[in-house]
Amino acid sequence: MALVGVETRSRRILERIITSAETPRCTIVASDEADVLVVDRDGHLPEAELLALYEGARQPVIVLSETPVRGPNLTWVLKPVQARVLLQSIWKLGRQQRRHVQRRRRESLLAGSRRVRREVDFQLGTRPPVQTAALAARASRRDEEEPSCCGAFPESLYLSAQLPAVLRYDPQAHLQSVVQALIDESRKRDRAVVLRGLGRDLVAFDGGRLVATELSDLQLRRLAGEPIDRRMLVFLLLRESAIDMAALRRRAVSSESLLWKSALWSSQGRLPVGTDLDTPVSIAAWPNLTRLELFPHAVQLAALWHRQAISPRATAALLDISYRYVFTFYSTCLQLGLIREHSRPVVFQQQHERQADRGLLGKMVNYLRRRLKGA
Amino acid sequence: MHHKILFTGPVGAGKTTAIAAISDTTPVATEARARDRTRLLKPHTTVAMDYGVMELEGGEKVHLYGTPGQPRFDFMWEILAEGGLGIVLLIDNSAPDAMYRLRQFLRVFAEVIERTRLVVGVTKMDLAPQPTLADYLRRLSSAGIRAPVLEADARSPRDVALLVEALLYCIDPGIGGADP
Repeated sequence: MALVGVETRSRRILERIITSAETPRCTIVASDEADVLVVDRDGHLPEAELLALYEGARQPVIVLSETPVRGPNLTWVLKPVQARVLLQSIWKLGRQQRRHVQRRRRESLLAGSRRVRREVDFQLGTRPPVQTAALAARASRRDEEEPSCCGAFPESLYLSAQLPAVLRYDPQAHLQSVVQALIDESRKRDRAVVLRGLGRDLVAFDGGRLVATELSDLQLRRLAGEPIDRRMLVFLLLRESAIDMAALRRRAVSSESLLWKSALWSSQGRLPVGTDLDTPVSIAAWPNLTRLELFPHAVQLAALWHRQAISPRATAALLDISYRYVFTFYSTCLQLGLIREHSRPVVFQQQHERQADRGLLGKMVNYLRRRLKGA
Repeated sequence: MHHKILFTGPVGAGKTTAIAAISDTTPVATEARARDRTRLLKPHTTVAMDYGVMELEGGEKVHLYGTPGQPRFDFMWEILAEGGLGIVLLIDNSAPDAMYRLRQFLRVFAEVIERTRLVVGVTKMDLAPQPTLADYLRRLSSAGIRAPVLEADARSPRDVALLVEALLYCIDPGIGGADP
């Protein structure tokens, strides 16, 4: 347990209650290691910080307050605190947590394979490293407002004479390269490989063609949004004969789809570091867009870059679209290994002489987008 | 003005289903009881053509034609292709001779592909993951054709709409359309 925003004198009293003989399993630790946070609402923390704590905490929060406090993850304990009431709240949360952990274990991807589970637990221990626990906590946070898939940077930034550093990102430091490493490992060894340290497991199997995970898209999106410390991650080999492959397959997605999504969510409208805005690029083949997460202008960009090699800067100007979509498309295609660089602009496929009516084609595209939305 | 898109491909690839997936009207199908080897695949088959329509804003219409799949009706293929904006070629990946079929259709439609644009939709990949999309791309490349090859479920309006959208952007990547 961790005490947050509690004055020194009150802290001593609370520590004595919490670590009493009636709660033998409780110890006081730092807040990022704690299973339960105890927060003094009337202590020294500013209100904004308290609100952020309530919303962002991965673990249950006991709020000590003179007035009622309500929330999905909150337990209110009236001040002045009575030891009996506080202990009852702690016991109740402890029971809830144990039930939650048991349920998660039953639902684990590796369920049905005790031998493998022991092997994995033995090598790793059951407690994820502190930093990855924090990552998982961020991934688990509920959030109604999702940013655009192509980033929320103001348009004015893209129009600067020099591309600002904030519009660059390092794919090697993000989820996409971790997923790529997992898939490569599975492909190289032709074995199922599990990745641990992201809060929940990712398992690549079937020669790296499929990846199964319990992480939802929302969680993956959050993990992709921030750099990942790879030192905290561990790859483990699994024996496919010892795993419930049918269960794994039910949860699996194609590795291509997961790579595309992680690049899309890592990029957020940014361009990989070192990419020259003026080097002509093309794609070797269309990404399999019917099975990938679509974003605005992806089909249009695929058609253009498959037809000719053209620089990202010229692409945005030619199609009259925001750079954010061009950068996102570049990043996703780069992750799938589709990008080809050229020393000069090349046209692989000429426009037909009999040019179709652009207005008509535009109307058809609008019609199809309505169908896509309705589907 | 008569605008049309042609859906073609071998028997059982999903041409009739694909047209039905995006047509605004109930598609007109000229189906008959299958009597040749086709009956092993399905009880009825298209013998002349399938027809559907996309009704655009402003009253314009785009006609969707589906060719019969059997080679013995190939005289219909070029008739239907005449004046089309492009071709959606559907290939059934679960058929044992999928690559041969692809070659066959590329040969028959070579002239039309030269004049217009092509998109290849590979169906039933959930039933048969081989050949892969990369295999199809290699085959197209060896025939000197640069075209999108996408996995598709002919029953899915989303997939079929995306195939047609890909075709339209291949014709002209500069199409504006409304903001997505």
